[in-house]
Amino acid sequence: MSSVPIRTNFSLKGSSKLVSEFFEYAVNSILFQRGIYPAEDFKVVRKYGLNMLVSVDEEVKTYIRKIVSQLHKWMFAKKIQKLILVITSKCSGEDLERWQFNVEMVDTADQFQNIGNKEDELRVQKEIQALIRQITATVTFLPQLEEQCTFNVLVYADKDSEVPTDWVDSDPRILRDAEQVQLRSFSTSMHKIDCQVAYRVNP
Amino acid sequence: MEPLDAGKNWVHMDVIEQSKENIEPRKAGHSASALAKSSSRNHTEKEVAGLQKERMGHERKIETSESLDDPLQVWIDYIKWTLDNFPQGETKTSGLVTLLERCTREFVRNPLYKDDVRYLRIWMQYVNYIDEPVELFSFLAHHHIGQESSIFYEEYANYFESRGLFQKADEVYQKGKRMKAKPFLRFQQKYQQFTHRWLEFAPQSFSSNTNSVNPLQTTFESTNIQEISQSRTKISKPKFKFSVYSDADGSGKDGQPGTWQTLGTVDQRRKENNISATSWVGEKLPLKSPRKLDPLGKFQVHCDEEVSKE
Amino acid sequence: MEIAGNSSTISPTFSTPTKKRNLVFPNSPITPLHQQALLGRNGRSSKRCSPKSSFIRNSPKIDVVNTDWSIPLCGSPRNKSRPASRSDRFIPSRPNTANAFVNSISSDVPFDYSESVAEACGFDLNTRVLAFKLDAPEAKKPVDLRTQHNRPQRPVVTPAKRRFNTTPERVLDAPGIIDDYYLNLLDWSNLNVVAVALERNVYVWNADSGSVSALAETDESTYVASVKWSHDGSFLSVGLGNGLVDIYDVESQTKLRTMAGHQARVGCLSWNRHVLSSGSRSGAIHHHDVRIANHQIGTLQGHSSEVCGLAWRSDGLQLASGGNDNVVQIWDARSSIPKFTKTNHNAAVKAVAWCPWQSNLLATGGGTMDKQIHFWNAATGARVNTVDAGSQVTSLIWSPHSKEIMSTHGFPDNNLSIWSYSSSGLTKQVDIPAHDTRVLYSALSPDGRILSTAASDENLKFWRVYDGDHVKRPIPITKTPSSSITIR
Repeated sequence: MSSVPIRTNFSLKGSSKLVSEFFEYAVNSILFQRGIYPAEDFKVVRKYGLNMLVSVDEEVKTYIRKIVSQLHKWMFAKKIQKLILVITSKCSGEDLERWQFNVEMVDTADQFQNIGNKEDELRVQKEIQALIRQITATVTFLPQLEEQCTFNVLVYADKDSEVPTDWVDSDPRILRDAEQVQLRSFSTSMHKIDCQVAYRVNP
Repeated sequence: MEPLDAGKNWVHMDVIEQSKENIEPRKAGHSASALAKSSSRNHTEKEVAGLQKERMGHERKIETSESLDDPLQVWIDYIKWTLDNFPQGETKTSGLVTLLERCTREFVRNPLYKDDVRYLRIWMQYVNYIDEPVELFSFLAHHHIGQESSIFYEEYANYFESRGLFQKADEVYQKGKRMKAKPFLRFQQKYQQFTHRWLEFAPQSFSSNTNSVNPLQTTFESTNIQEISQSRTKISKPKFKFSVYSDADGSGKDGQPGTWQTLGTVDQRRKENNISATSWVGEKLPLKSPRKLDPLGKFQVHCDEEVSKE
Repeated sequence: MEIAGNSSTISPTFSTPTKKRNLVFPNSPITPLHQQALLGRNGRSSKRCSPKSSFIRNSPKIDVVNTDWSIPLCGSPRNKSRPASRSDRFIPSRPNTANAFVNSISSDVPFDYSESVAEACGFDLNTRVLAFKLDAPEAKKPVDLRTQHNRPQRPVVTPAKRRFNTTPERVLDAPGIIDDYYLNLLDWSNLNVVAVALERNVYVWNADSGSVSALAETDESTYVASVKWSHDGSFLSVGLGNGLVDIYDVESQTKLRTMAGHQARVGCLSWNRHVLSSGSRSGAIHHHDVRIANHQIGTLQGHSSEVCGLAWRSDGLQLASGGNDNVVQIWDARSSIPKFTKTNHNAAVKAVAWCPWQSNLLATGGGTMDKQIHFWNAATGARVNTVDAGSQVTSLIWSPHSKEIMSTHGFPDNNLSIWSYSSSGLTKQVDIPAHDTRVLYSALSPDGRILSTAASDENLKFWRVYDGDHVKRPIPITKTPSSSITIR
């Protein structure tokens, strides 16, 4: 059947777009909740049936866009394995928190009938809602970030990926002696995304 | 799932989330593994008894801790146990505040811990639960506890700053500077960040900030406790006599009559305002106008067979 | 024992419930402080007797399916092997990959650390860790500490805008009351009887006669999670930690029936005449017709997490529910599909209250990460008002006498607030630190004048919130036409 590859291609495109868009919202959410930027830099938008907070600061918006558009390219090329957001103290340079999103390609052979289906869209939205809710709820136990903090984005990509000049090889910046929490996952027709956070409890 | 750190298991957020509203916001955060444990607990007698047994173990250790080289560590373990097992913090059962109170008072006169940051941290946990933080910070200064530690000045200044009293916060930092608070690099960074915030959020009070001859007096003197309190529409009279802390006369007169021996407990302070609870029997609260009932609302409940047979 | 007062309504009487704590500290001087924290308080009545249950204990147990509800883990263990599409590049050798990792990043990480990292991350030659080189933009402003502190500011009594007694009229003991946001352990009936659940027991206090009795006791494996009086005060429904719901007859002091069906604890209950609705930790709401043997007449599967708040409108036409999934749902009486699903709260919703004098008006309050009180028009689903309460909202109670609403709170301030309500907004009238710990449970007297609150400081307090000298009639209910959005 000649329609299959086209369809796969279509769903890979759609799924990559959906997932990279999710990353954009998730990163914004984390930056808001962890106070990396002041609350007045964010506005509420309706997304996934929830009130999501996104930055209105032009510089921050551009910065995140740059990252997300590259992610989208890597996703579409099936090159990306993980996306990491590391929160670092400006004062001490110490890494305090590490958010990790694992990207897994899923076999969709038996899901063809669902693609683009309203029912499936609703399921994805529900799963994303549950994950966003959990990201929000982590603030109840994460340590207050007292000093000014900044953040970095890392990816785990395939060796043969095309790497633009804005991206450089890096240490994975794993937190040692960290508390580690596994959050929920969501899956589209092509990808399964799960989320983890590691942090250090202050003495 | 690939664990990043093979030594530890991942805690699933689902477990924590189901009890998320019983988690007290804490500056230092909570341990996820401790939360997973306490969240999966039910309120059964067996569990309550189990906790009670663990508590007794800690109490026994404290009794025999005096002979140890580092008795404070035993208290720290007990406090950590309480924080881990009672994520909601202070309740009658957790006894958190009372425990912090007992521990802080235990070592007030112990020279071993005057500059031990672990001991100061316990005071800083306790300060979250009391009505008059200024009094507590003055008490620590009077007893030379944590006076060389950056944390003391950061926390004291944060207390003022969070209430918009930037001027007072600055006086605290200046004292810290003179005391060469350690680690000094950290202290300097904190002071810098504070100055930055002051400029940002209250520039008018920053520009009017003239270095007075002895700025500290206003912050560390007892008379000002009242002044500060009143500015927050509080009426409080100093409940304990203590000598005025002055920078020039840096040596405290521990143990001499007239010096500030004890800090009142939360309970003692609240007693003035609180009515103590009574038993129920014989207590009445008659109503002025009972509500009219809907006569059509009457119905019979179906009885279980087992019950109706009896 | 002496029986104080007239016990015509409830008998037999018991003394104050006391909690037995057999703690001995060998060779330890027990200060009053220790005693208070560890031994519990001394009983205040000179004569004490231990609480007994009034129903026969060895009555045959009803055979009930009693499965523990466990959370399905949604993540399946990840497959260690790479997806088939990339198998041609898959290299299994571990030691080499560790070396390759060290060579690939020229960093000064000690070898054994990087090896363990490589090990842990499932590194191989095909993976590169890349960082976005540019620095994130500087924050334009530092974090303002004034918005950040969560220290309870006590004692804060804001000057009351209206006359209000800021000290409780009565304080009673509530030894061992459980500190858990998800439970509902206090209710006040139309017959002026207060029910309080303490661990495994339910005690009832008749505020007319002053008599006290132990109405219910669960078995050792569970605890009481919720109590709710039927409208006329004849029956008390009791939700348990194991998912059962019991109904007691208050006059005869007997258990009438046990209703099974829930897979997990029942933390909230609401009556609509003879229909009792119960909300469970599983997220399900069941409707029970208590008059018939096959009681379960409906199931609502709207919430994906524990149901924390549940309230029927007084006319029985709509039900409002709040959940640990941060969602508020409004249901029409005969429907099993929510009419409105509201996701504005960012934390669990326990406080759910219908306005007694404006039948379409619903108030809901959010938990620790939210602290908001939202007001909804239940006919249109529109949000008509919002106020930031500054603390975890644990309950909301409308006053039947005046255009006011009361709120109780947990983290961080443990306060009780009274707000005046108008369509243009809310004004705080009174704010008092009601308890030393979270104010988790509340109930209003049948005449609407006294608010009772309970907290894990083990106090049950009674506040005279409305002190009209002459008897006022409750404000008549006004209906808003369903077409209009504004509520006047």
